[in-house]
Amino acid sequence: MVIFKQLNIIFAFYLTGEGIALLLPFSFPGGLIGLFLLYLTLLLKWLHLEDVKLLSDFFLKYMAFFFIPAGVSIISSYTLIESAIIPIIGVLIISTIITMAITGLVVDYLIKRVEHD
Amino acid sequence: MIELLSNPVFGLFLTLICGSFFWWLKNVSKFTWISPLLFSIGLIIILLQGLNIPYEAYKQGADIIQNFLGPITVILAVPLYEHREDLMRHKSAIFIGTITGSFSALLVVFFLGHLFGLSELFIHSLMPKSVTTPIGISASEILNGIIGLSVVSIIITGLFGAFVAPAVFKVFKIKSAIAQGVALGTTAHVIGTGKAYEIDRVCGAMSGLSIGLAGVISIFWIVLYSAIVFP
Repeated sequence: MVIFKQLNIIFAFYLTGEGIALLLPFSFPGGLIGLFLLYLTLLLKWLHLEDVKLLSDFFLKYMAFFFIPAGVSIISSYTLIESAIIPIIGVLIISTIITMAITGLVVDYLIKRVEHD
Repeated sequence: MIELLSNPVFGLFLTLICGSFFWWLKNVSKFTWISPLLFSIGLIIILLQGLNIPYEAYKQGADIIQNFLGPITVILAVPLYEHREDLMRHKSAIFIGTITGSFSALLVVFFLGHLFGLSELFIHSLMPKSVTTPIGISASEILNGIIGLSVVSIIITGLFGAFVAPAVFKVFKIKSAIAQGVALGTTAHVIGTGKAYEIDRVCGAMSGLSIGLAGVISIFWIVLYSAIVFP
């Protein structure tokens, strides 16, 4: 029953988020609105961590499993991608190095500045 | 035969059996570099192609699993809540780091994509590559990208980011565990966080909370970008 209860809570937050997303004048993921609502509810102690803990531990541990179908969907557009595979890999590799360096340098600088103050 | 394959339980079963096999293999073997996700995707594609099973048949069941991505996004609130004290302790460094980090991820992909002559469709599919998958899929939908390509590029970015991190930190002299953690989480999401926990606990916690934070912030950038590109 605990799992049912926790699933109900998560689904309710998700659907509320999707409902609010429908009312927005621009496209915004409903799941993310659900995330804000759940965070707020936990912060205000209307819900406690134990109310979602069991389910969230499971989903966080095996989250990647739920991405398999989205990954497989690449076959429906493979012929389109085939010709551009080298530049795509190039963009991914170079941008990963640059992004990681920029993020790390910014945080490193800010932390050193705080320590100096 | 096609009636049986079009039964939604077929796609569900195929995904579960491939997934459980590779997660089991990762657990019992010493091959920590195995990405059960990437291997499962590869094996399912090979099976569908090799046995001439139409993708549409597989999709019947696969969609059931995919429908959990929204609720999983909601669940990302839990680690953010659990790490809220770490977050508050270094809030300006973490917020400014994830804001500039997620912005630069999008900007660099945009410019490199144009430089390498990629079409708008590919560039939009690659832009969510640093965003954690459930949120990255939403980002790809907003940009009208190819969702499968976005997912695969998210996985490749995660694997490569975790692999290259020690070298990047050395070359750019990024020494603090907080900076390393935020960089790993912002760039390489969940896979990077695994690496961050190998470095140390503080680095891992920072990386873990950066995943959700960078994901949320990226969506704001992407909504802003799409408002300019698709008015």
